[in-house]
Amino acid sequence: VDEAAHKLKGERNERFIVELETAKLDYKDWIIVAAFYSAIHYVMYHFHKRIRGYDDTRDEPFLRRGPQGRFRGHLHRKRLVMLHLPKLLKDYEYLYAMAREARYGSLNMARVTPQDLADMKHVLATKFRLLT
Amino acid sequence: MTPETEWMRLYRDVPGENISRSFFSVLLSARFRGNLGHVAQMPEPWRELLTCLKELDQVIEVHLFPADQDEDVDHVWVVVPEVTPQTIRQVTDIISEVELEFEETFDIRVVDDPRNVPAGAHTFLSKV
Repeated sequence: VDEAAHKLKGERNERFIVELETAKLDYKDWIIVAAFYSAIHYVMYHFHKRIRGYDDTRDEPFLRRGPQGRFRGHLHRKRLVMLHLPKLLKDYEYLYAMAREARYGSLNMARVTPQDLADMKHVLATKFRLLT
Repeated sequence: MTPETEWMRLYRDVPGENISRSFFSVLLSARFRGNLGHVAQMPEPWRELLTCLKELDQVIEVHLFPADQDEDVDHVWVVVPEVTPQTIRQVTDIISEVELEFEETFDIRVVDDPRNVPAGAHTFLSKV
């Protein structure tokens, strides 16, 4: 996936959030998941632009530390965020944990308020989308 | 007293099986019970992680993985009474700070039921 595709996917996920909200159904969990995946694509866009030779299908050379293959998938990517976008780490970590616990059922969805969702969208728009 | 000093004192004061029921006490998993120096011997990032999480009132338990003492800790399961956006934000903010300070990354789970935590935790801490 090239950088342009990551930008499009990030924007598409943001539009998906708007669609879910417009439906006025209880899709808070999917809104949270879409917000995180939108953030992922924006940071991957940034990596493509700023990290020489970055290839998201072959992250390993940029992340290898300690035993080979130690950092994989999301943990892998989070490490890149820590190294290259340290000011975004806290928000990235929050979006990641929210998406994960929404998906796996630990997050009490009844306690997720419209303000919480608005805050997530604000972070997405003002911090992650600005990477593109 | 700094948090770390307090932490170490609490750790040393745990009297084996007869664990203090003060505001904060430390339980060791069966795997490490009796090895009270374990946290003291931990590399600094993990010790710092435990020290910082201890300060959060909502945190009931912290589990570090993998269980093998020779491997780096890279998974952290935090048990809280209720998983809300606020508790997730508090936990992730603290862990992010430790990650940035030590250039370590941890895979984080925040759960409300300790039964969801996989078996074989490296360390098990509990507020009672």
